[in-house]
Amino acid sequence: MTCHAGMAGQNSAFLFSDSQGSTHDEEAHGYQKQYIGSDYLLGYAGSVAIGFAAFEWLSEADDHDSQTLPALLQQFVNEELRPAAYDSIQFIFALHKNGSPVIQTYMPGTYLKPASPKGFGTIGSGSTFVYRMHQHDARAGIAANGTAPIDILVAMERLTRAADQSLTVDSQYMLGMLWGGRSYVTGDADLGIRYAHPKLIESWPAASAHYNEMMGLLQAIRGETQEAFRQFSKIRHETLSQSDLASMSTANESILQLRQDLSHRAAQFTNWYDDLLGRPRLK
Amino acid sequence: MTTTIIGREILKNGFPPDEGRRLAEAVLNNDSVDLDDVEIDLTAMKPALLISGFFNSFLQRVYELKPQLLEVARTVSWRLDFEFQQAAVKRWVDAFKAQDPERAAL
Repeated sequence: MTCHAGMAGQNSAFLFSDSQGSTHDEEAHGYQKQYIGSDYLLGYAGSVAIGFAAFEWLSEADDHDSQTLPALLQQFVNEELRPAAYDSIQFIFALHKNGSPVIQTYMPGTYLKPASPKGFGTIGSGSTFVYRMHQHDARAGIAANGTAPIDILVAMERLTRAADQSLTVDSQYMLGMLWGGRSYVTGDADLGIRYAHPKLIESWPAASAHYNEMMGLLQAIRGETQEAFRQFSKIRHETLSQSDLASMSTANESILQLRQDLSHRAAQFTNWYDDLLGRPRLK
Repeated sequence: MTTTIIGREILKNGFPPDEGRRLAEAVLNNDSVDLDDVEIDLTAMKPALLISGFFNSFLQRVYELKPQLLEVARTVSWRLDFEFQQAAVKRWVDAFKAQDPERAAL
């Protein structure tokens, strides 16, 4: 069982994918559930065997990209799976449509085609928790109100944390990014990476070190935000003091600095990744 | 000889300001600790705990209990998991301004 959550903004998209594989009797961790294409990211929920078969199939397919991925996945489902197995797999992908990053889902057990592109999507057993948090935030007026990469990362870290409540989702995440028309991926050091560029597989511990630092920053931003919310909640009892406002102001300044640090760290990661793959750095 | 205090042996699952205060009290109540020569190990602690409110409360509690030690407390050495935390803690500690314990309501 699984949780994938993806969100797209103006020039970037992010896909968080957990790593737990569960049956009725046991659970295992460290599964790679996200495939990294040249300019797209693909995640699956459901049968590990079918998911890996899809990854294998894509890795052997001729050159393909965002434009051809949806049709290629439909071809995989139609040519490689028996109809009885359609319910056993779901897909989510972040790709480029008309030059802009979008999120799409594809549920072969229910629909003939992938759903229309959206800015947000989630699949797997943890998706209920993610949706609930997303809707709660939207109703409370605290939804992600920015489309910059850092805004999306901050929002996604909060949403995927909600999925931790699911018994069948773990906290070993893989983080895929579409940025500047390219794909990047990093994640937990304990993930067993099999479907990726050989240089990335070899350097996964180094990629993971970037992930840890970025996640540390995201968690610190969440901590500052939660503490500011907690201070402000005193207004319910008319006990909000100047001291509380000062604490909230300090948190605000701290978040500003942490976001700058995160932006810097993300740029360090994309530079490291581009160098590793021998391609020009993003401008 | 530098004394190392292990944060995870002292801190609990409270809110950051409460845990910052708890740490200050544990440090100041330990007679064998010389604040001039102490390292506080906060590795393996959640980054969401080690925020500005945690460190400000630590310093505020030092000021409340032993105001003469506030400036020494600013120079405490912190062991942390992440690079960004070292820079952030330095910013918070440098910018900290002690408040009188009495807080005026709005």
